Amino acid sequence: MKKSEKSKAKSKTAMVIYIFAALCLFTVSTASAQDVARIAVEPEAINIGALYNGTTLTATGSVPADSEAIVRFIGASCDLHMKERGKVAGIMWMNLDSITFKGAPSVCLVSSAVDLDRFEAGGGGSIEVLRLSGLKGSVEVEASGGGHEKALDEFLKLKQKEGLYREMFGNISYESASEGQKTFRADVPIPSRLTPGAYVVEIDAIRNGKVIARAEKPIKVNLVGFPALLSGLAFNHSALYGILATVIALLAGLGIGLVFQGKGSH
Amino acid sequence: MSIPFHLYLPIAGNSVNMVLILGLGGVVGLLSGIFGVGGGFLMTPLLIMFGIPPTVAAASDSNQIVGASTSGTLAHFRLGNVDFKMGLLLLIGGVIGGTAGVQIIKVLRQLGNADFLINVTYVLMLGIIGSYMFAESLQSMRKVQRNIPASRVKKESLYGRIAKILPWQMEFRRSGVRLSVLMPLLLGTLVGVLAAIMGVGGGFIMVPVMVYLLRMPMHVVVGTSLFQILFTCINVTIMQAWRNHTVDFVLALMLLIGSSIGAQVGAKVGKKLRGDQLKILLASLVLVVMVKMLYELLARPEVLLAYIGGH
Repeated sequence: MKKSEKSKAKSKTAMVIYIFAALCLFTVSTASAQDVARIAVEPEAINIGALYNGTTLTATGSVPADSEAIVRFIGASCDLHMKERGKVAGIMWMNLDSITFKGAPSVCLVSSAVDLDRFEAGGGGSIEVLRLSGLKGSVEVEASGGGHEKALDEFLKLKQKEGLYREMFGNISYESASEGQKTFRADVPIPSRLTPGAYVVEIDAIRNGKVIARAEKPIKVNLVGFPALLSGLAFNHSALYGILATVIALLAGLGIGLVFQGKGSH
Repeated sequence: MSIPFHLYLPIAGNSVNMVLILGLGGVVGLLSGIFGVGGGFLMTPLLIMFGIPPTVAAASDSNQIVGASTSGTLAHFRLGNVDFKMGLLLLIGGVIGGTAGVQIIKVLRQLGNADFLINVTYVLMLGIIGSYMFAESLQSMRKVQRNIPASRVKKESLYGRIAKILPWQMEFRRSGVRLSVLMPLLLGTLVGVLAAIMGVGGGFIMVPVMVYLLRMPMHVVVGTSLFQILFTCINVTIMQAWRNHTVDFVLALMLLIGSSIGAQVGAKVGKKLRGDQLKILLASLVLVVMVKMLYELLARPEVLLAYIGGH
């Protein structure tokens, strides 16, 4: 009897362990299934034709239901050579030191459903790494001498003025939630000041100030039609392009001159 | 169906409103036709304001000036206002001066603070030229109003006497002056040096030099200046397109359609104005540009960074 009681207790413990292990496994599998982000982009490529004047990119997908979605449209990183402005003789503002910003993305558009300042202040946690101010950590400044502490702030100000760096809120909407995931739709206005190249649309799911899931989709920006033809000529046959530009300008000037001569001769 | 007013510029990497660019070209062309200046001082900053990168704005502007100055030169040629002989001599001097100026600016940059020196020289020159022209033309307009004969016998200045004793004197019939060949060559060189240092076409300096130092009549000055600017800009356009890929032909074409029409109208408006009226208007324009430059030097810029290039 004693033996059977012992084995009963053993099997009970084993069952508890099995149930616990199964529960753990179930919880982990459920959590990893939920903490994923998915993204699809429409259109899949941006074609810049003669009449291009900016466009709207639509990103759709899903993020964990208890997270906040941030969609970023990012251009390839490049080095920008500029001049820093400062005072000379205490009165005049001049272009002074040469300064290079290394690794700055050509475009950075950050979209969110909520105001990110309010989100951070309301206990959403710091998400600076995804914001424009977060670029200060990744862009390198190369300049001679010291006193360039404010250079990155000025750089961000310049890029925002050009419309190439921007933080927007309210252009992401959540549509439905099921199985721990909610779907989103982001309408990102792409600026008219866009150069061809490789770009990325990135979705970040944020919970308690941490990126819990990320996905990205590459997007190509291409010149098509007349702009592609002209750009090819300008960069691949530059001398011919210069001569043609001059000759056409001369002929246009002469043509308009002759039209006016005709009118003036009456 | 909406009419597409925007056009994408592949070299500038931005799209622009066509009506705006045509209008901008028209206004600058009008000034060019009236005063014989290229208009780069006005056009380039405006293009930058509309989102065109500075290097592309400056180079494409040169391209459009080729068209505008062709149209303007033709209009002035028909009116008998182009002194080709004088224009060619000034052009030769300008090419020599421009080449020397590029070397001088290299040395200045190595010495440091070249930009400071350039800007201060620019403001001072514009201030002196503008004020002198303004005062002089105001005086001559008052004389006309009081019916004082303009042809009063004046004592000849030292400059006038030196000009007369220089060798290789030549008759410039269109301008109605007799001068040594050395004068337009040397003055052209001087303007070329200054234009290269300042990074502008030089029309602003050339026009007062023709009026006050070569003593050409104002109407001939305008036509001859445009003729000279045409060649300078042909050179700049080809070099910029070839070496730096900064000429946006679509932008230039839109600007030049506007500016060629503007230049034709300007030439006709200019013909209706007297020489002293033209001078006082140009002097006012020079002074406005000077004040604008001075303000830019003294006021704190919105952003303490600038792209390299442009005027």
